[in-house]
Order: sequence, then C-alpha cells, then structure tokens
Amino acid sequence: MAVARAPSQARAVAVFNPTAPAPGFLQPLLAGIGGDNRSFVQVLAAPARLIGFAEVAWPDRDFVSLNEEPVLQIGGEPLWGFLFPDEPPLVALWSTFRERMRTRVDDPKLADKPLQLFDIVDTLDFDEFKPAVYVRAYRAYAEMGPTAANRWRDRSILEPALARMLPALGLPPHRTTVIDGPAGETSSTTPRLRARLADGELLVFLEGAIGEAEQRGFQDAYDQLVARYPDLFPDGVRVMATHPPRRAGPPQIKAEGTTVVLVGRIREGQVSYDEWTSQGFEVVDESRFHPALRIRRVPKLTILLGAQPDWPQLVEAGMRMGEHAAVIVSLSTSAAPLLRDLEFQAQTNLPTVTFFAPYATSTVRGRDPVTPIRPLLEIVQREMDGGPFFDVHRLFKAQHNMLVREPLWSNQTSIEPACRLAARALKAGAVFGGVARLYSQGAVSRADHQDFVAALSHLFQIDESEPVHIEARRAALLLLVERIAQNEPSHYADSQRQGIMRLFELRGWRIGQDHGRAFDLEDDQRRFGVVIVDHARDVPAEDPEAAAPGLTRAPLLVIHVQARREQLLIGNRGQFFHAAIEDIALIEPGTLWVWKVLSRQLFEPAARPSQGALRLCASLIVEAVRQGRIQRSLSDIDWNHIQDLLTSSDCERFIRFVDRRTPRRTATLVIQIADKSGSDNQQIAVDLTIEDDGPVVQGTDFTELPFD
Amino acid sequence: MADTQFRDFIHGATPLTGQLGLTHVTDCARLSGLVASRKLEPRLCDVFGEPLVYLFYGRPAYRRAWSGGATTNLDYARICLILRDDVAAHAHRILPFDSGGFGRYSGAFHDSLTLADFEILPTDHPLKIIGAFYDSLEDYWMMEPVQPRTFPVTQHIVRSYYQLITGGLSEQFDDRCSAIEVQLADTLLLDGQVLAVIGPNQIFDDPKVKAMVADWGAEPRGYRVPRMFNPAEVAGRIFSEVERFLEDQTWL
Repeated sequence: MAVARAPSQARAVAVFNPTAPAPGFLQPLLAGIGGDNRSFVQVLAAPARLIGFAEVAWPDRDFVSLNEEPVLQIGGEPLWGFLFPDEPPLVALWSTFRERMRTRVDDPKLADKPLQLFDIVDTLDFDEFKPAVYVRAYRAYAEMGPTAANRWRDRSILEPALARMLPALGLPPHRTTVIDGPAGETSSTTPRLRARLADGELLVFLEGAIGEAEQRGFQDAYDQLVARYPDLFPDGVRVMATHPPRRAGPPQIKAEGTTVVLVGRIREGQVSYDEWTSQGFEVVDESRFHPALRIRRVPKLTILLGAQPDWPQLVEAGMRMGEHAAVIVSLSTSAAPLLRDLEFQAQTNLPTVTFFAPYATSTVRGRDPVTPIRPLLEIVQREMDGGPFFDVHRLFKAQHNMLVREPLWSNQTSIEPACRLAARALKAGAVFGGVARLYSQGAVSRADHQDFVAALSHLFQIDESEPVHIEARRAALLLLVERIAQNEPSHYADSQRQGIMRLFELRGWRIGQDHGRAFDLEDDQRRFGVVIVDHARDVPAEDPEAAAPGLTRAPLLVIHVQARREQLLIGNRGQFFHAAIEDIALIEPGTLWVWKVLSRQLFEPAARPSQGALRLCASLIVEAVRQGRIQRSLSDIDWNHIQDLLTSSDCERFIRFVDRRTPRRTATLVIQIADKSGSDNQQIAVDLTIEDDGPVVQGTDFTELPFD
Repeated sequence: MADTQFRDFIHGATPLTGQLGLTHVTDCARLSGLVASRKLEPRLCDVFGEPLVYLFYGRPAYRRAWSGGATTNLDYARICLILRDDVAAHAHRILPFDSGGFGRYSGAFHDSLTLADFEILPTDHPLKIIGAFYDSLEDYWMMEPVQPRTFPVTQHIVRSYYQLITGGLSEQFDDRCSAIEVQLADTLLLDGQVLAVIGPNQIFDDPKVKAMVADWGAEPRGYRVPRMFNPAEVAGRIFSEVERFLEDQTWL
C-alpha cells in the first residue's frame, strides 16, 4: 500500500468488516476530498494517533456506508468502529469510541466470546477489565490444549508487559510477536524479545547488555504480573534474562566458548589446536572463519588476534563481524602508543585490547601465537563463568584498552608493584582517570587484591565489583585499562603529567610548586625539582662550568617518559639524576632511593654491558671508594690510584666488564693499572655491588689474565 | 519439451535436515467453508489450466494478485494453516517460487526459459531445493542463499534461478520469488494434517472452529484483528506468527 502522495485529510465514508461475516472491529474507509476520487485507509502510529492515509481498492463487499462522514486530519484522532450482532456499526473518533465501548464490555452479546473480549479490552487498554477478561481468554485457549494456552499467554500478555518496562531499565526497544518495533516494523532489524514460562522458570530472551539491574527489573515486572493476574502467572518463578538462543543451522564447532581468530602474520605460527580446545578455546585461521561465520553458530566471543603491524587486517576482519560479539587484540612489542595504532583503531567500532608481548611470526617457527594472550583468555573465561551469556561491553567498558601484567614478588609492599604497574600503563598510553579492572593471578590474597585496588584507584577508575582471581603458578597483577583513543599529543601529555604527579603522591611525596612539565617534590628531609621529558632533546642543559654534585645530591630529577637505558646511564654521570617513569615505584621518600634506581638501571634482567653502563660503574666504584665502602680485599690494592684512573674523562681505557656469573645487583669489572714502579701492568678485578644504602666494592689481583 | 537441467540439479542435491511444515493461507471470508468441509479442495488455476491446491514450504506466501501499483486490495483478516511436512509427499508439482509471479520473473530471465524448466520431480522433497541453495533452514526463512556461488555455463537455468533469489537479475521481486510452491492436484483431507491454525483471536470463540481445531490436534494461535488495520502490519502479521510457531517448535 503506497503512502506516497497521500492527502493530509480525507473523509470517512464507510467501514469494512475484515472478519466478515462475524462481528468485530471494523476498518474505516475514506475518500479523497476536493475531486480526489481515491480510497484510503488510516495509518496509525498508536491507537489514538493518525499519521497518514494509505490508498486501497474499494472492497467488493462487507462494507457499510456511514450516515455521518467526518473529515479526518493527519495528527488528529483516528476513527474506530465495531460491529455488534444485529446492530448498526458503532463508529466514532478514538476517545468517544473508547468510552462507548467501555460500557459494552459486559454486554450479553459478548458473553460467550471471551477471545473477542480480549481483543476489545487489550486493544482499548481497559485496565479495570483486564484481570477477569485475560483469565477467561486463557481458559478458552486452555480448552483447546494447555500448551496452546501457555504459548498464547506468553506472547500475548507476558511479552508485551516485559517489553513495556524496557525503557525504565534503559534498554532499547524490542519487538515482540504482537508488538511491532518503534517504526511499526514486524520484520525489521529491531531486536526481538521472547519469553518462555515453564517449569518454575521464566526465560526472557533479548539483545543488549543484561546486568544485575536488568535481571532484578525483569523479576520485579514478573512479580507485578503475578500480583495482578494470580490465575495466569504462577508465584515463585525464577526469572532469568539472557540472550536469545541461536536458531537452527549446521552444528557449530564450539557452542558456548571463545573463538580466537588468527589474523595477519601470526597465522604462520604453530598452534596447539588440541590443547586450546581442551581448555575451552577454539582457534581458527581467518581464512576459514569468515566463510563459516554465516552458517555456524556464533561463539559467545570472537577474539580477532593479530600483530601490531597488521592493524589494517584486524580492522577489516572486525568489519566482517557484523553484530557478533568480538574484540580486536593487538600484540605489540612497543611499550609506547604508536601513532599508527591510534589511526587504525579509530576505524573500528569493536573494542580493542593492546597486549604487550612478542608475537610469533613466520621467522619464529615453533611458537604458538595464542600463548602470549593466555592471561587475557583466562580473564575472558573467568568473566564468562559468571552467567549464561557474555556481554563484551561489560568486560570492555572503554572501546580501546590495554592489558598490562606485573609480576609480584614476596618482599614487596603493595605500593611498589602498584606504582610500577600504573607507571607502565601510563607509559603505554593508559588514560589517567580511565576505566579499569584489576585481576590477580597466583598467590594473591583477597585482602592484598583490595590493597592493590585501593592504590591504583589513585590513578584509574577501578571497577570495584567482585574480584576475579586466576589460578596461576606465578603471582601477578593484570590491569585492563582504557587506552588513549586519539592522536592528540598535548592532551595525552597533560594526562600523563597528571598521572606521574599522582604516582609520586601515591609513593608518599608532596607536590610543591607546579610548573607544568616541571614541578617540585618534597618530603620531610629535602626538596628538589622534577621535570618530565618525552625526548632526549627536551632534557635540560647542564652547566658546563659546574662539577657534578654527586649522585645523591642532584638538584633535578629528570623523569623520562620513553626512557632509553643508555640515556639514563650516561645522564646519571652528570649533574642531574635521570630515571624512567617505572622507577618512580622505587623513589620512596625518606630513603636512599637513588641506589635502588641505579641498581635497577644497571642490573635489570635484560641489561647488557654497554659504554654507558661501564662509565656509570666507574663512577660508582669511585663513589664507593670515596665513602670507604670497600670490603676486605685479598690483595694489596691502591684504591686511590683506581679512583684517579676512573675519574679521568677517558676512564673506559682502563676498565672493562668481565662476563661471569655474579650475585644479583653485582657486576664484575677489571681495571688495568700500572704498578708503583711504573714498569709493569697490573689488573684488578672489582666486584661492584649496589646495596640499598650505596655501592660497595671488593678487589682481587687479576694480573694473570690478558686485559683484552 | 522442458529442459531437465534444474530438475536434475535438485534431484542430485542433499536435502537439509529439519522441517518447517507447509503453509496454506486463506482468509476469514472462507472460514465457514473450511469448517464445513475440513479439507482443501483444488480450484481451477489459470496459470496451469487445472484444479490445484497451493501450499508453500515454510514461508507463508499468499497468492494475492501481482497487480502492484498504488492501489491495493483491502485484506480480510488472514488465516494460515500450518501442515505437516509429509504433506509434500502428495505433491503434484513443485516449483522453487510462486508460479503466479513467473510472468514477471520471465522478463528478467532468458527468453527461452519457461515455467516447466523450473519444475522439480514431485517425489523430491522441498528440503532438497533448500539444501541446494541455502546453508540452513534459517537462511531459507530469511531469504539468504549461499553467496557467492558460480555455476558452469551449461547450468544456465540453475544460474538464472540463483540470480533470481539473490537479487542478481535486472528486476527485483518480493519474497514470493523464493517461496517454494507445492501444488496438490487432489483434495487434501485436513484431519491429522494440521499442526497449527493462525487467525484472529475471535475465530476461536466459535464452538465449531474450536471443535475442528481440537479434532485436528492443532494448536490455535490467535492474533488481535486491529493490528491488521495498519498497512505496514498486513504483510508481516502472518509471517511473524508463523515464524513464532516455528521458533516455539524449535524448528527455527
């Protein structure tokens, strides 16, 4: 029926009986005005609202002409009609019609027509008659079979009642079998609501987020129905809202789990398919997944996994996911946010998670590309355990996220690992104040977990719902946190600056005067300046005329956001003290934190011997000698001479590392010196250890070995 | 002489498992006749020139006139019978679309193709057609054939049909172009063959209708008549009700 070119008003001239010959509701027929000889029916947006006229052919029969021919206007009240047996049609505008029909509900002519009465009372929304009329209609169906009656009740009464309360729960409109979508569509893309009441349980199927509030809302709505219609709805029914079951089709590969789809270069890795399947994860190659997606049942969650350089393929794969729950996971070896990532992630509507781990490629055969995201899979699995469905937006509250993992050691307070975790997140692009969820792995008590949550809440909006703990051999924290979404360096830098200041406060420092990227830091003993630098070119210049004040007396602490180790090591021989953002975890007020920071910079697990490390070790040996921190040596060593050699500008001519196993926080170096007669060379092996209160050296005569 | 290419193609196809039942759509004006006879009697068909009963597999296609244009006939409230799947065993002729529309499709087909070129063996079940072009019953219901597919040059009739149901022809058609039509030449006695009767709530107030439904062991599924008054609702009402029945049966 075409609505196009329809008039704005028309004259009602007759009513048509669509259920002829039986009595019932009548459909008004209208004629055009002013020479328009077309016929129309009304188009209604609601029983009381006329929004248009649709052209129809005049029926051959079963119509009755009207004595009065009212003109109807779009936006006004529509005309309604009803035919009682042996009477002329009752025809009137909506409000009048409704009131006249209200007086006829008890009419003897309807006494043996419980289903006709249901149509009247339900259509005209006569609340006062509903309890009795609904029950009579239900019983009429029950006479034809209990299954028929229950199914009719569910779709005619229960589902509309539940659909009407969706707005109060903040849920989008759904269409039921008897109520259209918002645009009056019956087969549109508007999601469907279905309800099935059986065996003491009411299952409500609908799309969208279903949290505890929604579950409670549906339970309340059902309880109200029970109170109103006790003969229709049994009491004590447990209501469970869930996502609709998939319809029939080829059996799915995996019904209820998570599917990891390998995208881009990581497809070259070697996947332990059976092992993942046994753990509840299906792993498939992208080339096989998408063709199968349209014929198989969709997993609860699809993880599109790829390496950071393959963002374009990840975005494209995401576009093909349609409405299915999916998340893009990008494995990145860069601890910093890359401009390219930000540009590509802006092209997807799916949630994204960046996870910092090496990825397997064709050049690294034998590695399972899924293994690096095992922590994320464990999180997903645990989050899925909580309910019959999985809402991807409940886990990923922000669209762009990162997952940062921090191992825990038994001798740490909660502040230190929390600071380090937060620092690493900030460095990688976490949004200061962004939404986050903390997970703990291994031997972490509930109380400890709460301590970590409390600490991290200084920087992020941590979800405080029931903690999810993951069984693991090693204790660790996992922070899923919102990641910057746009390439706006100034905004990001400010967010990062605030985060760094908050980190210092979390560590126990007081922030003094704030100068933007520079600010003052103080505790009860001292006060010094801090400057945050993004690049080496931003490092404040040193005074070429001034001598280095010593490692513990530097007037300025330089925090490098994207620190290179060599830069820190070289810098720490100068006038300022240089630290990485992660080092803030070690910078504890009232302690000799300089030594802990230097120890990390020199002896971190991945540290390699370098020119900068060699020169800094030389400085530390000098510092130890100056402080008299020399352990008893087996040889007669001239420490003053060593001090002279190592303070020279070309000290690397006299010192080198020895590659041998050493205790933690210790390096062994060999220093070449001339003997007192000046005729022969002597080599001294020095063990340099950085203890919490400063460097300590121990020397051994090592002359028998060649220097080079 | 009809080409057997399409028939052979379907004959060799694997039927999908499952069932959707067959539908017969009529209206309230014919209800009293149905109650009296409890059977579907062939009526003369001007397309085939013989008396036939028209059923459709799963989808409740309604053989309304293909007049189109701005003027539409006013509908009596519709009634749909959902029949058992094995009624298809009585088929006299099976076509992969509403044959009433062939005059329209043929304009987009090659001139040489006739209606007979698309007939399949009446002993082949409609599920074979679905199996040949769809991945699932759901896809048939939603009119989403497998895409893309290619056919050899020698399979031009099959390719033409595939283009018809995938919208690949020069003209687009409504859902009837993919509704599988099952024609019966003989009277169909409805006792024991009807799974559900969909119609206005009020028809089930009638003791004779109630008795008929009870005798058949069919499920009465009523809807509210005023819903039918909105033009947007007319085409979709029966479709929604049948779909819901198939969902409740867990067939979809």
